[in-house]
Amino acid sequence: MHKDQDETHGHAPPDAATLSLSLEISDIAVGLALAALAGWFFFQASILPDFSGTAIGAADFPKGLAALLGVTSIIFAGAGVRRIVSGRLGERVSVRQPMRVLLGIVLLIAFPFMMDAFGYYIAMAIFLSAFLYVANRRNPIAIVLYVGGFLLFTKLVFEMMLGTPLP
Amino acid sequence: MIDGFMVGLAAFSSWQVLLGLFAGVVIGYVVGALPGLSAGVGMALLIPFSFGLDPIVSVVMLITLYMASEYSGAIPAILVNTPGEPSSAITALDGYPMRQKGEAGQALTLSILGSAVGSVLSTILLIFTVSWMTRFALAFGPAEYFAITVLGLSLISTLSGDSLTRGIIALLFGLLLTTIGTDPVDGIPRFAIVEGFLSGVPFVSALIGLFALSEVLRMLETTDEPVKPLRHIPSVAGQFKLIRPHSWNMIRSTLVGYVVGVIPGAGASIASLIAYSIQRSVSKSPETFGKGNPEGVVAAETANNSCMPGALAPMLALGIPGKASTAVLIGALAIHGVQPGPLIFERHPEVPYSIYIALLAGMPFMVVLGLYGTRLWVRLTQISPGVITAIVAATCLLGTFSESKDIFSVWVAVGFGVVGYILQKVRIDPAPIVLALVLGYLMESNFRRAMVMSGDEISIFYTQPISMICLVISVIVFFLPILPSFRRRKAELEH
Repeated sequence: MHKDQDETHGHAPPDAATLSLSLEISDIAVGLALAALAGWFFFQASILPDFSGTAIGAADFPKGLAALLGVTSIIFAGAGVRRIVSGRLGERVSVRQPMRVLLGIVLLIAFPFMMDAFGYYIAMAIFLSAFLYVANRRNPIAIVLYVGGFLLFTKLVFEMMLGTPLP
Repeated sequence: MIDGFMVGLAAFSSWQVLLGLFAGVVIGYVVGALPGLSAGVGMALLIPFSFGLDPIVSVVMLITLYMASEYSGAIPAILVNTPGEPSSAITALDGYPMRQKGEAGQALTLSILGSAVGSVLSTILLIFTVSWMTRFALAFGPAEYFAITVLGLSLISTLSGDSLTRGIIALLFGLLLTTIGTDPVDGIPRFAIVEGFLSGVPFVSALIGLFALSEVLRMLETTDEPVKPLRHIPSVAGQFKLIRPHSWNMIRSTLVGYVVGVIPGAGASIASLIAYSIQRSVSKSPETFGKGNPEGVVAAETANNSCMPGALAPMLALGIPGKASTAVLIGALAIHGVQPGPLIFERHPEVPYSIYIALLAGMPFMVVLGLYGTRLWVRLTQISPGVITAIVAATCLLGTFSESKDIFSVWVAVGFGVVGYILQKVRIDPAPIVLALVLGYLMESNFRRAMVMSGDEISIFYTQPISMICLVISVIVFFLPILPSFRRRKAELEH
């Protein structure tokens, strides 16, 4: 095969900022967070009233599940601690282009606020324009065309065909 | 069965259903051809759009979307060695070398014809299998349904990849979320810290967040990757005579795909791999596999398209989702007030028979669009990843809001998207969470009903034979996939 025909190589992603963390640290953080969540569910279930008159009431299933999740999460976090202490560090958790991901999350969180304040069409125009920019599309004309096209699609399909009013 | 088909045909004869079928195929092609999007994401995105439609139209669109995306994942796999669907990775093993030898047209034709034959034959198997399973399932009471949901959840060990602990955590997390809302027996509110949670965690919002928005955040990491250029788009002609030399391969791969599809947890990727391995072992030229042997393409594509009808068998007959995709379908049916299981044939016979007809009738559309629309689908692979990411994000938000007309659901979807992204980073797959969201409520309500019926005697679960058998199978299904790793560790310790 001539290298001109080879279309799989020479297209590796360019170098970019990467946030990297050991999988063990991530496991510990997630394990403890889930254990705390399980603890909250267990406490809330304990104060539920029981009107059932049967052996298994409204609180029992969630309490059982919360207990199991709590124990499993602590084991999960503990396994991370054990691997760190024994020096058996393994994979790493990487987030490539972390600022883009963070901005994406911020835009997703901002969208419902914008929709409440400005209505769907303005909120989506702002959201989609900003998201395209964050997603590495920088041509303003292309952004306007994509946003316009999407809003037109929404108007035609949702409001006119499916009869779903948007605020 | 004849009466059922007449009911299904009557439901199918409306123009809306036919339009839905065509739309499902087209959207499925788009989703499958775009690397980064999967059939699960496509189905999750389509559910809110289908909410305002008739249940038959919704189900037909979802089914045909899934079938078309399983095929069209082969297009980028063959042309640029980038599978559009995970199950197309096996297709690429011989499909891409065929393209490099100048046989891309033949590879694409064989993949669509293999998919078509596999889908039709496995649908016929589905029709007969479900009627047998349904007769068996009609004897089920709450104890049996509880045992069946435990069986469905036990496949977590097959969905967990290489870490059972992570799978169990995902499952327990999902099950705990299903307790939010109103208690199924006593009717008291539980954990409804916000009024929106009184009717439980919105399933569609959670699904879109876990499958689609988390994928959007992952795709943001690679939006600067260059698109692989494609200088020449091959022409694909309707060379139906290509089927004949591969007919035994297609039949064998169909059976493999269907059986694997019926088994909970085993997906199209496994079906493709097994069929490919079997074909290589019976081939007259096994040494050419991986270097452009068309038998490999046929085996992989036939098997992965036969898998979906197989997955529908336990879903329709027993109401348990064997895979994340059928969990999505169950969620979609539930939104329209249809509960899969043996009673679906009595209460809503038009639904399962419409599914059968959609699988059969959708195939000609798929073949025609596949053979004559290749240039269009190929061009989709050239769309910038950044544009795909942004449009999918916007579609998620629009779809979530339109399904519920409530900002709260958008918040839920965003929350699940962020949580799903973080969990995937620590290798916790969202599929068990979705499975738990579908089965959790059923599990608790049937358990408690069975306990009430038995006067709080737990023995009801092991004195009822069907319940006991299902629970025993659950234990086997749960532990079987992890036995090899136990044996490996034991061997390492002995050394």
